[in-house]
Amino acid sequence: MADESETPLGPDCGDLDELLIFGNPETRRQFIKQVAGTGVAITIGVNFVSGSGLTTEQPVAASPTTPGGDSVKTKLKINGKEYALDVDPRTTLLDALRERLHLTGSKKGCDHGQCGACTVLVNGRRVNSCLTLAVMHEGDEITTIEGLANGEELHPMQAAFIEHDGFQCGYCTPGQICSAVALLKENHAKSDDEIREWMSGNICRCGAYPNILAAIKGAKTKTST
Amino acid sequence: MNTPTVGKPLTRVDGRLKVTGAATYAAEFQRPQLAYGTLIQSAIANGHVVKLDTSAAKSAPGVVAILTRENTPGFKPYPDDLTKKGAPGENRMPLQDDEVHYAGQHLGVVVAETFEQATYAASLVRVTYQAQSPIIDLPDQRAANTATTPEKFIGREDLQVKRGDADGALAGAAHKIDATYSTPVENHNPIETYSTTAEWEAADRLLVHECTRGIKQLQRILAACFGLPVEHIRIICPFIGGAFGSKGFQWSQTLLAAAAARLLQRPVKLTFSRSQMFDSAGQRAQTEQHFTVGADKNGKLVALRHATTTHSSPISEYTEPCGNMSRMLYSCPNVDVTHRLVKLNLTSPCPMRAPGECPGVFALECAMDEIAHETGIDPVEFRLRNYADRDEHQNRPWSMKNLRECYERGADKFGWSKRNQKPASMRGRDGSQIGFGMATAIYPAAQQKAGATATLNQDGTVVVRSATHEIGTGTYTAMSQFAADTLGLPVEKIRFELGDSAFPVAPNNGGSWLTASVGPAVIGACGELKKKVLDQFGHWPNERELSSLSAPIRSEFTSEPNKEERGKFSFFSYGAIFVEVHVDIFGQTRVKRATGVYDVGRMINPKLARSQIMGGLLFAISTALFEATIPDQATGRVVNSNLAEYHVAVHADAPPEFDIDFIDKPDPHMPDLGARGIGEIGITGAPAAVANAIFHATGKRVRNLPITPDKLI
Amino acid sequence: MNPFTYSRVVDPNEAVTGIAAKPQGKFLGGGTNLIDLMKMGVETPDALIDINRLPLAQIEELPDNKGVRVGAMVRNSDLAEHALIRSRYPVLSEALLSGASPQLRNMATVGGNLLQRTRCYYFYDPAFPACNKRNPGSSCGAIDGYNRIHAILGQSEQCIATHPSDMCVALAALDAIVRVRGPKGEREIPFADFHRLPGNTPQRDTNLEHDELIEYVDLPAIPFASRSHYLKVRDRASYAFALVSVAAALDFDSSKKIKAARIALGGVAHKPWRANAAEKKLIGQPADEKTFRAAGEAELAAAKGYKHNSFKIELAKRAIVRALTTLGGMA
Repeated sequence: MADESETPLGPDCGDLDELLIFGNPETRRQFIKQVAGTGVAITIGVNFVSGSGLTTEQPVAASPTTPGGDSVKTKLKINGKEYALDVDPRTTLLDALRERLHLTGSKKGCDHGQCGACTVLVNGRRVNSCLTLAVMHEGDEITTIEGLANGEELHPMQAAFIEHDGFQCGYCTPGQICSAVALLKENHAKSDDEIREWMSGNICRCGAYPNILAAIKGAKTKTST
Repeated sequence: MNTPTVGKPLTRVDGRLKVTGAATYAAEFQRPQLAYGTLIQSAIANGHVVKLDTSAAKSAPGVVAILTRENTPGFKPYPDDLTKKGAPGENRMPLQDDEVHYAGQHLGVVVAETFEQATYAASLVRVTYQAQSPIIDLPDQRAANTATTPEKFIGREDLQVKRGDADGALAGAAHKIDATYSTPVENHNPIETYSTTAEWEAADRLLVHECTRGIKQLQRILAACFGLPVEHIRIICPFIGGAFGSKGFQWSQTLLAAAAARLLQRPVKLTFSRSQMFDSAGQRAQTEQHFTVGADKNGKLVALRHATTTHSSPISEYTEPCGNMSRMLYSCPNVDVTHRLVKLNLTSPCPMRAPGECPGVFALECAMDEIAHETGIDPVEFRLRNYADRDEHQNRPWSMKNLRECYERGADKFGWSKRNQKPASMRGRDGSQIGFGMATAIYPAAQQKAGATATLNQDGTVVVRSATHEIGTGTYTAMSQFAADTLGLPVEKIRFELGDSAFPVAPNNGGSWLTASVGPAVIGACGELKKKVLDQFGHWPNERELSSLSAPIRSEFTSEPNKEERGKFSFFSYGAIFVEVHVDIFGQTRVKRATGVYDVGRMINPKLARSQIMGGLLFAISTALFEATIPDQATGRVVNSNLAEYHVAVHADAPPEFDIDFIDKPDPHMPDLGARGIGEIGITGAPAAVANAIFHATGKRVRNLPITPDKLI
Repeated sequence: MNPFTYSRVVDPNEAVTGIAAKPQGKFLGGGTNLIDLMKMGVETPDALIDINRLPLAQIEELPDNKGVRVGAMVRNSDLAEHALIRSRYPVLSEALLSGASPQLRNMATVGGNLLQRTRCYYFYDPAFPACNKRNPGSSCGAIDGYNRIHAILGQSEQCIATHPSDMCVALAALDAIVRVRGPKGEREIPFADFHRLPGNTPQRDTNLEHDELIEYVDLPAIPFASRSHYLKVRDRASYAFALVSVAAALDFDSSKKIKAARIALGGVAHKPWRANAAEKKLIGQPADEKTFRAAGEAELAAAKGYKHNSFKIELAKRAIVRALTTLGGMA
């Protein structure tokens, strides 16, 4: 029984096919090297940055190509900046943002258009970035949460969400804010009932809805004066 | 000296990160050469795997490794205390055998260069099973054969309690009700799904980014299962996108991601799909609760019997403790509380926001409404007549209880006196039926051991650290307030850091105990720091003195609950919740107003406290009206494992009027500031208030949640 | 998602030629349903032809007051808010706005909405072994399974799935015409013939051929449709599929008797259900609750419920009464 073994788990297990490691030759080479060596694992360029506290890691450069698989060349204009990408056509706009361009402000909550956490603005209109493919958006103007603030100055909606405590865990928040920005533009914030209905595509499991409503009304007042 | 911040409605110190998208959640840490893992899961719910054919998956583009039972390195067992005594979490090691205990059980991991490649390749894995018919339902006779009567809840609370002679008292009771309430399987469904990124920094050093509200526990689990010293495991988690009881305990994906990363010698990220949040992330167990309650002619309770049947999975002993509050919420000489546990082929249950208290107090508070109705006494008056002045279960005084004031103030604010006691007597202008309902809210006020360090830097900032968590409750903010007030500094000078297993010990984030546990540690560490600094300088150093410091000044403090005090008193938070519902001719129920008055000790930050209670109330409304995880009877698979058919409250479901108020008196027997928890109490009682209001509106008593249109039409 | 080739077309003929060459290919519109189903592994096209840039996004009046023509690529939100639709066909506007979320409505197209597939649990999750719609001959998992959201009218032993669209219920009531282009040219499909009942071929939702492209939906001129209404009953206040819905329009004669009626039901059948029996009951009758109830009874007389969905029968009757009462009040 494996759990009775006394040795810590290590790369001491024979045949490669048995290990079901294949594919990427580089990985395979590294693995062979390791198995053939002293049994001490090779650490591959780990550059540990503490993720704790209130700082976040500096983004590294976006990965320019899809490793392996067929890809399509496309250009995405996000927050006013153009990105050339080779993408697997299966890549959703959301996954392109998060996994390829490291714009992780847009969140994946359900991946099926059922929660709104992935809401971004495409040509000024709010959409679920999880249900649209990246390749469909060549030439579109995409705005994500990262593109709302003007430098250090928060977008009025962002400031209102802080002021009115329009979130708790913060995970649905970027989607809520993008959605709320579009809501005002659509002129669907004429009454509390209308705001509630037209913000119903963004689920907040923490239940911050009344505060989100207050934030939207607050931002509306500020932007209209 | 700065004015104290405790009691002030500070905005969140992490607000800016959250509204700009800069707060980094578990799946968002970039790691070099990251590969993507996707789970291989069982399609059947009972039986065993005969053959797992990975040949097609293996040759799919981009696939770099497949972890299955065949090549699993094997795991050492989980730490004993996490699997015994009905502890939440599974006791079976992943991939240890070919048995299948529930649908969605993990059979392996496909790892590829990209997410798209990994998910597609996983769909190519072909599994042959020897399947048996799964046991899915509590009433199933085959389930009855597995029934046990567990003595304790996680080794702590008594689950079988007898006081006096309930049978005898019932026989002579002037008024009686006998009713069975049921609650369905529910899923936590935080909007952030589970995500683990595991990487081996050396052959014996593991770094994990995971959304866990049990950093130290996960560190211990990984150390045990991989046979490594605890300090060789590092867990990082600065933000959690909601938990509600999930994201604690041992679930196999952490081990699988770590094993896959070890196999591949690359960082592997494994993020759950929404549907996996229904079969791999724990859930609230289904309950059936049989109440027999007797009262005398004056409406004084004479007997209360609460018999719960609930379930666990074949590989867990966790028991939803529904009867705990029935032991002592009301004064009653004859009490009989029992719990019966059966095994079903459903994914392993675990705590979900107010485990036990949510379904248990729902049933208890509906039962109180029913017996009040039976005796013809107003529900608030009935509760006042049965007010417990001491804990009759533990036979000791309360630490502090202002529940009477909650009832009175709540009833007054809500306008309870306008309620026509007769059911189905109130109508709105649109023809809908209107009902007022109320219930008591209650949740234990616990405290755990916790530690913190505080460091004064040359730039005048103080960094305070503890291995605690931010699940949205405002830990960063509240702890910064404690530190600032203790040191007499503005909050801007404090940087509170959490979410790193290298920091001092903190308990799992749960049980509504975070503030009462970590708070004293932070206050202690900052108190020590202040003493050290004052010893050295005689005053708080100015800029020049700070910059000449040769090294930062550091202190550490560990706080533990005062055992003597905890043994002398019973600690709970309380509340009274009142709601108005409208029910239309289609059985659609809308909660129009909610008033809640809560006795939760001292308010640390009224703004955040109000948010959290309001969130709890919305969760409760969602529980009362919408939420149910439905397993298919034939296959054991969840039919609605998505957010389109597992309904949680959306914005349009939020009541237009919320009135939340606090008694705001410090509990003299809680440590330091006298704060009790607020994380879970909001969801207790409120589902019953909604159900009671629906009864009042329609005259129909629905005893099984959720109360959907089909049950009212 | 399975791998596929991606191409983009800007001309309808190019689209039709393109799809003809790809028997396993699909047109990609808003993506809200297709991408969802591809992620589930229910749809596995080997080619996607992106039709988002086809010049089919106009809403315009037909000549000679014949009604309104809606391009297949018009987004649900744009259709709902269009002045012509709001004034002449409020039922359509209301139906659209009761569906999904603002984000999804910004993405979803009229053409795509016509092809929306059922939310039946057993269809949506390929790990369920039984679903005749997904896997013909594998039997129906819903009939003896959990069938709360399933059909009460027009179902077969093969399939009890429901059509999930709100928009299509309104279009059924409005007698819309679907205009399609195929390799042999254009053809018109009356709305009643567009969607199918399950019968023995539940795998086919519609009568659209694989190589046909939906270009337009024509809304015939129905003067009294300016007094029309959509009523939707659901489990939560918004962002939920209908348990039951009603699209209705009423016309009255000078004596306030009902002259003409259009009623369609959603959430009850494999296709948007045109309530012919109910309509017939209404003609010549006064617009009162008794008449409306009789219409509801007539329509639901043939209804059949299962273990978890029988409540829909009474629910549908009440919804008919309420929707017609609302219109009666507008008379």
